[in-house]
Amino acid sequence: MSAAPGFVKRFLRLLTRPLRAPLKTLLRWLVRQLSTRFADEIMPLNELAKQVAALSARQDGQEGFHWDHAALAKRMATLEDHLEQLLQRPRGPDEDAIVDESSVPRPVIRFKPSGEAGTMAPLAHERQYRWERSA
Amino acid sequence: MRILVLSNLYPPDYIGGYELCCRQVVDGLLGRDHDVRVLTTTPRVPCPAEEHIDRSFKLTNCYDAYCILRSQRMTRRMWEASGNLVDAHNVQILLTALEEFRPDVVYLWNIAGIGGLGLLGCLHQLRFPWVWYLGDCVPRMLCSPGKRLLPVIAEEFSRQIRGYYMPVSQRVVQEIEAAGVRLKGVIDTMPNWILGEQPAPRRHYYSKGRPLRIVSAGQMGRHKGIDLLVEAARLLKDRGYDNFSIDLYGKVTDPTVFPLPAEHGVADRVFFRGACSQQELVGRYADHEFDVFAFPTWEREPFGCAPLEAAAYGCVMVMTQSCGIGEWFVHGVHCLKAERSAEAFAAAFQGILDGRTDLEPLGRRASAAIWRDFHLDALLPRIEQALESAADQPRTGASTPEDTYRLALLAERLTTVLVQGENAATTAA
Repeated sequence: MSAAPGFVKRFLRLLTRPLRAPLKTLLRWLVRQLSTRFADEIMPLNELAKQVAALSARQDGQEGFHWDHAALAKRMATLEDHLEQLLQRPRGPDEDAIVDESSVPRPVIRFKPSGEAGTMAPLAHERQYRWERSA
Repeated sequence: MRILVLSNLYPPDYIGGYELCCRQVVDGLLGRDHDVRVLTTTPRVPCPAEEHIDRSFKLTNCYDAYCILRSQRMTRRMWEASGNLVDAHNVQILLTALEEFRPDVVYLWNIAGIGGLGLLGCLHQLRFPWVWYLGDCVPRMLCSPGKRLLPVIAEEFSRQIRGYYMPVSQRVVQEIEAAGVRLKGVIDTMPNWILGEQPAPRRHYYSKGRPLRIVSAGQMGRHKGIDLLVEAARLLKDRGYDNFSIDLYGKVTDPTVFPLPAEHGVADRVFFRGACSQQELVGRYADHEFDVFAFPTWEREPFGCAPLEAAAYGCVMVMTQSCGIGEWFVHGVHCLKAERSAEAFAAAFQGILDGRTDLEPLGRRASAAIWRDFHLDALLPRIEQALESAADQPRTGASTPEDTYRLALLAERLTTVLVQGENAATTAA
């Protein structure tokens, strides 16, 4: 495609010269109008972006909480399995018998095998208790 | 039981935890008198011959970033297709192994890069029982050559493939299914594990006033949150805390993270210690060289073995609140969890430095739970149970090996034609 001859360009420029000033004014007005309108729209957009960021952070927090809850449930299930195994374990024949630990120098806390109220007592008290009972 | 293990890589040729875990389980199963054979790829490093390991599979060039980045688009597409979709050569190797070894069950590991869908399709055609250890979103990867999910393949996978999946976290399952690949059959979530002998309980934990020794290990890249750690160090320093150090062990996979400590003015607090063997790291944890293991990894981390190993020795985990390992430990009971941001991690460290967070109960509980419930010896019976349960499945409707191989050849040719057609269309456009 060949370029327009120089005189044609000059002629067109001459024709549009009187229109330039009003066109510039019109364009300035348009730009001002547009920027005002966009400013009105950009402000809510910024607000929305902030809200989205806050919601996203909240969602992440919720997700973290969800996985923490899943972890809690898994740990509880594992511990329940261990407890069940302990409860299912066959008891030894002497497990219920009172063992005289008077030779043990350290203070030992024992459960009385009877299962009565106030069942925890230091060894010394237990010995006293047994004497009282036997008497 | 006769178990055939399929894995794309196998130590000493390995990339990360997936392959190391595979070896640990295989050794564990061998130790429990199972007949195990491993079918893996021709090694990329010299490997001694081992009786139970067959390295006949062909690995597609999917882990060599240098070659991938410099190859033609068409070559790349062909690699992706043969690595993820079908490789008839590998199907033939699998058929031969099934014929010769006659396993009761096939134990799948990472099958990306060896035509994983073809191998899975082969097992499906033969109605062979399998258990698939999902240490990552491998089914999604297989259905997404070129990182674009192929809806038709995803749909067919969801419709036809049924088996026993052992994902390391529910997050992995969610990520696979969110992409449009549904897992049918049994989904039995099982964590990663530790090995070794339980040491004596740790006696000294961090106390206020002493320097806080933070460690992190793994790939040194932004996806593992190394940039966040450096930024957290800067925040702490800005707030007047100077009695802490961060040691980073591992290969720097992202060169942009290396200058970060100097850029943030914390080069005297954050140190890149380079790659370190697993044994050496465990030795450091056992010597109680660190108080805290920081793990600001991305949310899609399937599990994360490194913090587990550290926590076994009383080094308290501070991790991203939504990563895979977070599904197994409770915040404030066994570990500390934080939002994946420098600010949140700095706040967690600040709490420890101020003495508001006591590390001892966290470390003690986590260590006890890990040695009791996360040791391979405790998990192996569950793995055996899963393998036995899968092996008991009926094999009705099984096809013949000949027909299966014909199908594999057909699928491979079809894939080639489709990739070439797509390439021609792109070039013309």
